[in-house]
Amino acid sequence: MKEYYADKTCLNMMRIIIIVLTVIIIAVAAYFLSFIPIIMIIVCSVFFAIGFFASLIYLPIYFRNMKYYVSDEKIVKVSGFYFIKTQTVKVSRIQYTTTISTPFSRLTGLNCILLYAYGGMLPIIFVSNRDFSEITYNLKV
Amino acid sequence: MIHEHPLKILKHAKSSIWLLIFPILRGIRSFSLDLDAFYTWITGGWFDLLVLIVILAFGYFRWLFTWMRLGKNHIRVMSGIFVKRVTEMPYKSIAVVTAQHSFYLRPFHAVRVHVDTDAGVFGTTDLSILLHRDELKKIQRKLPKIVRKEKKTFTLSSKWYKIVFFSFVFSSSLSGAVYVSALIFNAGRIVMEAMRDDWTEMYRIANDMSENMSAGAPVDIPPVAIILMFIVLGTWLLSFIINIFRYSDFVMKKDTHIMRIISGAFTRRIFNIIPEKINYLDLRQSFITKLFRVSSLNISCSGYGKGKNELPVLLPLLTQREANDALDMLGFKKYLVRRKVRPVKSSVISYISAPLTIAAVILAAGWLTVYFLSQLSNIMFFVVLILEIPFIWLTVVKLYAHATTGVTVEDDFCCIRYSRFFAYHTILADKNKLVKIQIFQSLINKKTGRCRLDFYFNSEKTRAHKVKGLRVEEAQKIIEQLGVLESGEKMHNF
Repeated sequence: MKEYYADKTCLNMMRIIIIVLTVIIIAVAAYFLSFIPIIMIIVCSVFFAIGFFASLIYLPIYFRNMKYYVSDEKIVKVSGFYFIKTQTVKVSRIQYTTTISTPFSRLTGLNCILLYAYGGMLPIIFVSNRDFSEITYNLKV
Repeated sequence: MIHEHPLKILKHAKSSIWLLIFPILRGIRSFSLDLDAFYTWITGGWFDLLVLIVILAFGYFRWLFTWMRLGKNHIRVMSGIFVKRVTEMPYKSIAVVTAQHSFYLRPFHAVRVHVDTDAGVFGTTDLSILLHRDELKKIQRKLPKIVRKEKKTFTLSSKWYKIVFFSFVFSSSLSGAVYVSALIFNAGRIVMEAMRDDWTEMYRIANDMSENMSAGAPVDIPPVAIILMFIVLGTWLLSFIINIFRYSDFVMKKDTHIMRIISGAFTRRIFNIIPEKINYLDLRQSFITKLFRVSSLNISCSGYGKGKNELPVLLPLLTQREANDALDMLGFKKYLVRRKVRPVKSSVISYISAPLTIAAVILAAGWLTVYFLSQLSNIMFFVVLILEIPFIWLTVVKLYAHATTGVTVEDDFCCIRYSRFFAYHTILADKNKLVKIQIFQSLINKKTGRCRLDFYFNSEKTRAHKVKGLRVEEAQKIIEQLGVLESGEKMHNF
């Protein structure tokens, strides 16, 4: 059974995107709400708190907890932030797969494999390009 | 490599139709009766043309980057310009391939193809593509074929009057429509009082009709009630017509490898069903059809009958003899056996208690309303009468259900007879299609040693088949026979 972890590059990419978005939203709020300083401060603080929590607390813990175990018989996904969830799918029960890869996925690690099995779907997300190719190759259902 | 039909370019272009906002804004800005302004607008026409070209180019490139490949073991579909999406579906996973020949696509030799497996997001098609008719043949070549020379090949077609009767009965619940319209018809007086001041023109037109229609009636029929009644009956009529067109020319062909269902007038649908993927058969009857020994044969199979207002019907209307022949042809005849486990006699109360209680509550509510608001006595009589009839009818249906419900488990299959609302179901399934079984006991059941047994089979939608009023010991024996419990092992708390 081989172990795969979430790609750290992807984590950093997502952090950058969130920080940039937060800065833009705060700047826009400061510009348009400058005539009501109290609301401007509240709005800016809320967005700052969300950005701070997402990029420095939520995502690092979520990525640290995320693991995949892949064998010939089954695929196990462990994920979660506060509550850790373990999902197991038998490879023989997988009916079909969909892979989604974004531009520059070699650098960003923004890849996704959707495993459609009886009773639902298991997404394998945030794996590096090398791991993505390896898992896809091994999952020739 | 197979591309979708070029018509798909238009559909892809539709998603960037919002770009038309720019030519519209330009038009609004230069809108004036002045000749110079018109000239400026005309000379800037290149911009509008450019936007149109961009929209079409976007559609074209999306079409170009979407293609399908039929491999040795699987279908591979690739789509997306920037974000690439690749779907790989093995042929062995396919349950149903549907070819939809819509009347507006036929002149272009285009056909919409849906491919479904037992997995995927519930209620949606796993793969949906618009293909040229010739390309469809390539997919069909990968599926098992109906070999006419083969011994076990059958063809069944339904007579036109059966289709009409079937559509009449199953069109968005005929009885429901009649009842709702009747209720509106009579209860509308209250609504009329409330809306008298508002509905001006419509009210006047409807008022004229109401005067004509109620000339012979003992009470005035309010115009709002007539409008609503027409809406309800009109909706049913529409559903009836749609069903006639949908199920006309219904033909089913089957051999040992594949089952093909062809139906529809304007939109011809061809379903290619892999028999092994059928979860179970469902012989469906109502109280009336049960008396006349007529039933409709439905199947549970991913991808079949899951569309909006679609019924998973395999054969629309069958006499008992025809049903036996059809089951024989499908290899399910041995599954239709007599009940071995029946509900206990005293459980009849659990069958009829719910409709009887509701009937009593309606009666009490009606009586209380008349007691406090005596001026409504006339209208309440109609409302209570109309609301009571379905529940009294349901009580009769449930009484009969108690006499026909039961379970039989034999070697590798099971036959479950139960009722759900006004319908009677006979489920015929392989044991290995059962995914969950559940014993349910209320406090009263616990004291009397009875239970409800819920069966869950492989299915795209979770659906329980509930058999009420069984003895707990018998229910446990059924579970043992189904291989869920070892002999002697007991489910906790029983």
